Order: sequence, then C-alpha cells, then structure tokens
Amino acid sequence: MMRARTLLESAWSRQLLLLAAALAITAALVALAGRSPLAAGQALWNGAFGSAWAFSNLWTKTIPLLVTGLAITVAFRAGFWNIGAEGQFMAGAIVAGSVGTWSHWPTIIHLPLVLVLAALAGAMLAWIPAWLRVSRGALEVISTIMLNFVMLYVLSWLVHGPLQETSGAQPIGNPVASSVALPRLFGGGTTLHAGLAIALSLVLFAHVLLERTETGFRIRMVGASPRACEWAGVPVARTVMRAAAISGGLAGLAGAIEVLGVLGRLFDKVSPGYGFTAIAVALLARLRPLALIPAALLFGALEAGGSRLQQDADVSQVLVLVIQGIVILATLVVGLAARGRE
Amino acid sequence: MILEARGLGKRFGPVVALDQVDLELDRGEVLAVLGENGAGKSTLMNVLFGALAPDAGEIRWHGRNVAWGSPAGALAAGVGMVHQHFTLLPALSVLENVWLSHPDRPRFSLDLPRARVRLLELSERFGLDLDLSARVGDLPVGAQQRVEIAKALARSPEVLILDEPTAVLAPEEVDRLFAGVRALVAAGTSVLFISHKLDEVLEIADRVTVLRRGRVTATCRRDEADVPLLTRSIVGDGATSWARAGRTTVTREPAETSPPSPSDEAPVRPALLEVRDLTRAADRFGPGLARVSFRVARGELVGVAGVDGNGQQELAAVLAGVLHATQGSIRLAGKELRGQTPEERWRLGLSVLPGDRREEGLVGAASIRDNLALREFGAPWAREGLLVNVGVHDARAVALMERHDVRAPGPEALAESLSGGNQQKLLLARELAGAPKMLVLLHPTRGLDIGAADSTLRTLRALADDGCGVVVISAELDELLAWADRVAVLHRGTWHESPARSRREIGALMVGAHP
Repeated sequence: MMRARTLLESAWSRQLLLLAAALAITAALVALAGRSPLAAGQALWNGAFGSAWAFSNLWTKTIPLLVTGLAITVAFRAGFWNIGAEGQFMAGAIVAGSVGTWSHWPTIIHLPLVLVLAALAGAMLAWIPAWLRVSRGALEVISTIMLNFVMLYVLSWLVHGPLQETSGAQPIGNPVASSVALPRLFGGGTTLHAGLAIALSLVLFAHVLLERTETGFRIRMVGASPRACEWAGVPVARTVMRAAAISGGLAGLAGAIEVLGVLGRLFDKVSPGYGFTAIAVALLARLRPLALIPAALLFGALEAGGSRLQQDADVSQVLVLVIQGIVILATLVVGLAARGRE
Repeated sequence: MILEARGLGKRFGPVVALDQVDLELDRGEVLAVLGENGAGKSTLMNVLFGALAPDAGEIRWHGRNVAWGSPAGALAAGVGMVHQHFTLLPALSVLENVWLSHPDRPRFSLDLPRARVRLLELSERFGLDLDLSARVGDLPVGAQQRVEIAKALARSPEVLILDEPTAVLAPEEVDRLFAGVRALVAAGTSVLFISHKLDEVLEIADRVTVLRRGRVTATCRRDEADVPLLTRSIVGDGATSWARAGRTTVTREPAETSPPSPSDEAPVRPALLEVRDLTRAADRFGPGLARVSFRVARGELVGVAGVDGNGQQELAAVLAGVLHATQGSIRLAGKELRGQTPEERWRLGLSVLPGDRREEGLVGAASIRDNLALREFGAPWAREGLLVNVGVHDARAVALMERHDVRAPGPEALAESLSGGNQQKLLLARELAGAPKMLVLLHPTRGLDIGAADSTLRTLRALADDGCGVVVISAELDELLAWADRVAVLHRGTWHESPARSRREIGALMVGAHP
C-alpha cells in the first residue's frame, strides 16, 4: 500500500515538473522572439484572473475542455486512440443546434432529449471507427481524424443550407429555444453557465465508471493488456467499442453544452479545437477523471488568457498551442522514460 | 588457464547475486556451470562477457587481469556468447545473419559469395549442417540455435559461452548440439556451458561448478562427480523433493481406477474432455493443427510433450477460444465448446493458462487484486446494486494470495513486479478460484526455478487427484514423465499417443522419427 502510494505521488510530482518545464521552455521562446516573458505571463494572468468577467470566462472555457478531456480519458484508458473528439463534439453541437431550436417544449423533456440525442450522435460517430478497428483492423488514429473532416464539412454545409437561420442572412443556425438554453450563473455579463454542473457530474460519472463498474474495469484492463484480457475471457472487442461509444458520447455532450450554454446557436466554427486540446489535458491528468479538473482549469486559463496575449504583450495567441504541444510531448517522453526505468 | 575468475562479487541493491565466485577454464575443456534459476548463473556469465562490471574480484585472461568494459571488449579478446534468447533477424537468410554480425565485414560492400564459402567451411568443420539460404524465421529452434553458434564461431573465439542452450531443444537436437560442442573442444576451443539440468551436464562437461545463491557450492571433475552430493549443492539440504520430482525419469504408477493396460481401447472412465479432429491451417502462429483427437478423463493428468513450435500454442489457444479451428469438436462433459466465447468456456469449467505469463496470462501493469478479479470483477457477489464493491476484491485478493502463497508486499503490488514463480502462483490462483473441471496449461514451469516448478507440478497433480482433468503442454519431457499419467506428443500439429513411456521413444516422436 505504502509503496503504491509513494509511486503515485512521484508520478504526480513528475507531471508538475514537466508542466513547469513546458512553461519555462515557452518563456524562453518568448524571450527568443524579443518579447518579455514576464509581460506575456502578466497578460495570461490578467486574461484568466484579472477581473470577475475574466474569472468566469476562465471557467466557461474550462467546461468544454473538461468534458472532452473525459472523452479522451475513457477512450485512451481502453487503448482506443480517439483523435476524433473534435468531430464528435461537432456532432453533439449539431444536435443541440437543431433539436434545441424546437419551440414550445417543456424544459424537463426538451433538455434531457437534446442531451441524450447529442450523446448518441457523438457515440455513433466514435463507434464507427471502433467497429472498423475490431472487425477490420483499421487504425482508429486515422479513421477518427478523417471523421473530424467529415464532420467539419457536414457542419459547414448544414449552416449554409438546411439548418441556416430562417432569415438566411448569415451562415449560422437559429437560436436555441429558451427551454434548453443553459442559464448564466452570475449577472453582469459574465459567461459562466449551468453547464458547469453537468460537466462536474460527468467527471463524477467517469470516475465511478472507471473505478466501480465492470465496464470501467474492463476498459482499464483491456487498455493495459488486450492479449491477457483475451485469454482471460474479457470481451476485448465489445469493451473497446463500448469505451469508444462512451468517449464519443461525452464529446457529443461537450458540443451540446457549448451550444446551449455559450454559443446559443450553431456556427460554422463551434470549436477552436477543444477536441485536440483535450488530449493534452487528459495526458497531463494522467487519464484520471478527478485530476482532469485542475488540468482543464489550467488549459482553460491558457485559452482565456490567450486572448490578452496579443493586445497586452504583443505575443501571438498561437503561443498557447505551443505550450499545449510541449505538454503533450513532455508527457509522452517522461512517461516512456519512466516505463523504461521500471 | 585461459579464463579465470577470482573472488567475483556482484550486488543488485540488497540482493547479492555473486559472492566470492572463483572459476577456472582451461584450453579445450567444457566447464559446466550448474544451478537453479536465480542461482547467479546469468549474472556470472554477464560479468565474464563484459555486460556487467563486477563489484569485487578480478577476471584474468591468459593470466592477465582484464576489465572488459563492455561485451565488445570481451568479443574482441575472443569470448563468444550464445544467449538463451536468440538475437537473429527472422526475415533474413542464415548467411545474411551470420555476415551481418561479423566484425571484419566491409562497411559498404556485400561480398556474400566469399562469406558463403567461409561459412560453409565453418558449418562443415563443426557439423552445424546449415542451409545458408534458408530464411531464419522458417527454421526450427534447434537450427536457429546453430545459426547463433555459427555467428559466435565466425569470430573464432577462444572461449564460447552457451547460456542454457538445451532449454528449447528436443532430445535428438540436444545430442546434435553435444556433438557440435565436442567438435569445438577437439579444435581447442573452451566452452562454458550453463545449465540447470544435471544429467546433461554430466554427459557433456569435463568439469562442473555448482552455483547456489551466488556462491560456488561445489566444483568437481565429471569422473569424480557424486550425483547426490551435486544435487545437494544445487538445491541445498533437505531437497529430497527435487530428486523425486526432478529431472530423473520416474514412471508414475497408473491410478487404481485406470484401465490395466494403456492399449485397452474401451475407456473405463468417461471422458471429461473429448477433442476430435481439431484442425487449423498453418500460419504465422505455427504449423497449425492436423486432426488432433484425444480424450482426458476426470482425475487424469495428461502430459503433451513436443518441441516448441509444433502446434502447442495453437492447441492451447484453440481450446481457450482465442484462436479458431476450421473443423473438429471440443466437448467438455459432453457439451460442445466450439463456437463458445472464451468467457463461456470458462463458465462451463474449462480453464486454459497461456504460455506467456507476462503478456498473455497477467495484466502486468495492473495490481495483483485487479489480476485476480480479471474474470469476475462484476460477479454478483462483488456487487452493490449497479456498482462493484472493490473492498470485496481486496479481501478476496488477500485470501487468495495467502492460500496460494503469492509473495508480494500486498494486493496493490503490480503483477509485473513479481518473480516468475509468484506470477505463476498468481495466475493459478486466479484460475483455480473458479473451480475449473478441466485445466489446460501451456509451459507451466517455463522460466521457473526447480523449487517453483516442483510446487506448480505438485499443485497440478493434487488437482488431478481431486478429480480435475489436467493437460500439461510442455517441452520439459522429464517433468511430464515424472508427473503425468500419460504422455502424448505434438509434432507438426499432429497428436501422437505414446503407449510406452520410454524417454527414447517419446523423444523420437518429438522429432518426427516414428519408431
């Protein structure tokens, strides 16, 4: 028991270290570009924590990262490399931006209906590459990425055609009905919405799923050794497909929450790449649902603060992507090195 | 003295792997280093070969102190080594494999014709009988080993270290290996022969050095060898079980209820497992299965001997449901298993333990508790409504670890952190927890030291005596002869019943020479 715990602690301290390293490297890059790392840090901080609005915005950005991070977590734990959370997010957004516009439905039916359908849409989209993998051996890394593009263009076509707003003025959808729009939690023009409650319950759901249910146990075991699971009679194919569906469902929910809570309607571009950032978030959290909360907050802060980088420090917002990339790489390298030592 | 070690010592953390080890190797002799797994043989060889630096003591080469620094230093001086696990490129030919490992090959040109001539000469001189253009991946294990030996010999070493060279060989291939070793020694090469098999060592070695727990416990010439004394040096005192269970051929008396003669056709006991015409085409997994038929009765322990790669993996996998047969039937207590999933087969009472404990048997990166729960995590007795009570699995793990003597800091310890013997106990604990009617094991003692192998076989024997059907598929013929009620042979995917229990006859079946 003791040994297991100290190991875990050392793994977490490793995560903190690599995070610090990522920030240090980024600061060095900023300095190399002739800008002040201090000013950049200041801008990021102000963008995330500088005002009540910024702080609420930080949480608003955290919600989609948290939920897509859960999606990545469940898939990766099963050894299903779902790079398609972005597309699954869009699928959920499309459901919310279409079914959510139906009027005259009571919230008690309409909201659950929209959420369930969004989850189903995401689940279906993730289930396809999982099925292709277990039945045909197609690499899910490729097929899930490809489906991202499919969804991107389907969404674009929808907002230019069938789902375009009734006035036809802009390539955007009709606003969602008030019965499903997620209420803002605070006044004063702040953006934080009731989706936070849904997101936090989903964290709990994923945690309980992985730790306390047979499906979650099988997901973890199949991810750790599909061969041993096969010999021990664990249904590997079914488990992988289930994990993929749950993962896609979570990503779909994230898309729906974003439309219902932030965007209010369907846009051509519903996600600035949450489905990809989520990979860095999930890896930083070492694929543990509860650890996703701080990890998502951190990346949420970067997203929220990034908007101030350009105006305050004359540093491109792209810097945030650099930090994410370094975190992903560092996590992989440190993880591999640790495994090699053991 | 060509190679000499004086007072070698090596520690790994708190573990003393070598302690004051002395060793002498003369020109043109075979020195066997004998000992159990974990006795320090591999560490000693790695030190002599330069892969490990000793903490204490010295190595003398032609009477002069040396520090190899790395295997490259030892190789350059004239020490060759054939590892237990081959380092061959399966997609390349025999010639290409040997050529690639040669130190003097020209960097940028491929002068294979000349290399061919040299290798043919070498092959002939030492009776290696190599087919130079054969693809290494297609060769049987024995031939692959000869390729490894050729690689070492191509450097004309003065000392050749053979690490457990007979572990994967059939009796006939062993004879052939020994002939090769004798040819080498006659040509003036010295051989260090590492083994845990006493009978082989007594056949090939001029002198024997016994290691036990990192110390030399005996050194003697073959003609002075005192078998009981050597045995005691290997396993320590109070090791009578080894002599009984071990590598001497003990024919087990048939159980009282069994038919008076094996040739009696009508089975007195009803078959528990009945396999008929099980067939599977050859593929990358091996030669497949050719109409394999056999029956196992309740309370019977059937040994399946054979050289690796003759369909053993496929037989176990097809019985487990991991691979599929193209035809035939598998009946357990009259119920057809073909078409059932591995999970259903297990529920019906068939438990198959794969050969590779680390990769196929256990989830290495998971805890002991999770490994024990692998088949039954969501079983009704562990549930609280929709959720699983993990505490139940913890308590169960503690109980099972105690019952099966799995030694670990606790149920949270990772399976991959356990020793081979404890991994096997863990795997058996998991499978026996389901009270199987029929147990099939592939290579259950592979990689285990004598004590652990003995305890595994004892457990299996006790299970059979309690009425379980047991099939042990193994390359360790002596173990099967000592413990099984009946020994059959798999050769090129074909099942041969062997009515007589003579080692010679079964050995002939194993290499395909029908008596």
